Amino acid sequence: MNNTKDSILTLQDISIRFGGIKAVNHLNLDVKEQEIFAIIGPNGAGKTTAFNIISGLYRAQEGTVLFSGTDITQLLPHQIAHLGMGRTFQNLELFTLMTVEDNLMAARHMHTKTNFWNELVRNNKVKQEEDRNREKVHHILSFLKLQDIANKNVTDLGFPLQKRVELGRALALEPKLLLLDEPAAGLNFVETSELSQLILSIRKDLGITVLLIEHDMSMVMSISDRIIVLDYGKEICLGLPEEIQNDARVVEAYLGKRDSHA
Amino acid sequence: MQNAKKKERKIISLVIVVILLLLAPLFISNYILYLAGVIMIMAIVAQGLNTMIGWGAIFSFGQPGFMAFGAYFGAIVSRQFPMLPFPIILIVTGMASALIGLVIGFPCLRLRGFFLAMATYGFSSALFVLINFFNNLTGGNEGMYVSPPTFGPLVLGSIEAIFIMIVLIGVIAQFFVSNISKSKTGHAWRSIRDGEIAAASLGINIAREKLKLFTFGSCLAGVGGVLYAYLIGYLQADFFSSMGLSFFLILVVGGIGTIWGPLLGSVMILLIPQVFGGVFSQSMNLVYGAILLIFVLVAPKGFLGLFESLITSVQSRRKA
Repeated sequence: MNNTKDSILTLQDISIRFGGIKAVNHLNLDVKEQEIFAIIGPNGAGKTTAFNIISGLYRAQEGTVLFSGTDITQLLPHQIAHLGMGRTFQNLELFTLMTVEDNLMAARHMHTKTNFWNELVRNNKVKQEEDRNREKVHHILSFLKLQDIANKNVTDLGFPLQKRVELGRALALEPKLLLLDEPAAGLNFVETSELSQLILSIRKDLGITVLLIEHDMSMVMSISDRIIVLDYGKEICLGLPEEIQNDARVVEAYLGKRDSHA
Repeated sequence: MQNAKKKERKIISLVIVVILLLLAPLFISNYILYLAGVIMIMAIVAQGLNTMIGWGAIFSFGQPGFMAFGAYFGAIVSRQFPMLPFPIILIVTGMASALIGLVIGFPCLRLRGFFLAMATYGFSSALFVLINFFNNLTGGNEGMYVSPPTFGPLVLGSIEAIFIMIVLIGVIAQFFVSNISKSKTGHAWRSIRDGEIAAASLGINIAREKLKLFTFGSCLAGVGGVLYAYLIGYLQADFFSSMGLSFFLILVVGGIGTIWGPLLGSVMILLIPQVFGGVFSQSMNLVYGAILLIFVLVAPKGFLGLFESLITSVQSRRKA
């Protein structure tokens, strides 16, 4: 089914080493457009490292990363963002001194067509752009049911809401590809199922491809089209959710070998 | 609707304040005018630092250096080209200071925190030495006299005229800063302060925005410097090297990252010697040190922050 669609993100033989440790080891990945693709694996498997390579925070020592046909291996994070990639962070990287609305307004940076000199005198163009951006931001806030807390400072919010604000900030970038690093971590059962609906709707209504790292297996299995399992920076297994669930290698990576002594 | 009305009222009250300030020379003694002029100049330079620290977390000790550069540059240009009207000199000095900011910022902004502070401090110190070294241009240790600003045949030598000039430039600077604060650039700068990794993930070019911010802050310092030269009429490098920490003091007292903090801080810091001058005239630094300590410990958001939290607590009490 997926073979008919174009690739949006391709990792070819990616490796990165920190000291003596190969955090990501000859990793290949191919995410198709409109796909929800999950990366799972035990702690320290190199999932977040892979994310950081894709979004440009780390530079791969070997291999190539292609995003919508462009080689982004050597690009800086802001250049990759300009190509249409948004992301969230495992340990939240919100702008803590700003309101919810301003966090999203900051993400409108690359969609705002004004220059410094216009902004100094605040001419009509600046005001029009600002109104347009604010409208877009409020559209996203209501999509995420955050409209009522738009003017609250983000530090006054609880962890689940902060996570949703960070998701909103990534959406305000209007990305083609969204990277979500453990979006369900710290959420309860109800919040997690809401999040699952939200991610499905991000793909369906906004047409955004989603690549996520997640430990919550019920969520991963219910929303993902395909799943890759990493351990020690290597791919152990790649396939449909039902294939992953029944794969002996995955069970081994998570729980250890059946015959080994604990 | 209510917002528009509120805004209207705000603009009207601002206009009244500006008109009163412009009319002030008619009623106020020269000494007070001079003091008010210094306060506003310090506020302009502190505003430059305020944008750097409050929005970009750029801890620069370069402000006294850029202010000195602007003062000497403006004074030398007006001496060499007496025909130039003062607005041209102000603009050229602002541009020259911005250019120096760009050149100094480019290598320095690779550094952060303490190291950035040291590098910019090094710039300021080196500049003071250079000013004394090129004594044929600057008068060296003996200082140099500044010719009064001119506009065609008009010579604006009186303190009243210079005061009005300072008020107008101060208003323009405040207008620019408040506009930038609301704009895309303002959002980008504040997002860099709150988290560079996240800002980069939103497509913000950190290196370029920081350089822009540093250049902007340096430009304000340079413009403040040339106004200072006009106001005092005489320059010595020591004037600026002794300013050292005063801009930080102004910001801490006024409120870092707020639009009106620099002005409020300047008023308070420069009025203190007027109040305590009799008793503590030999140990003003002791008073400043105590103030700095008290504000950092008790009101880190400065006077403006204190005021805001007072208002919110009164409002919440009224609601209850």
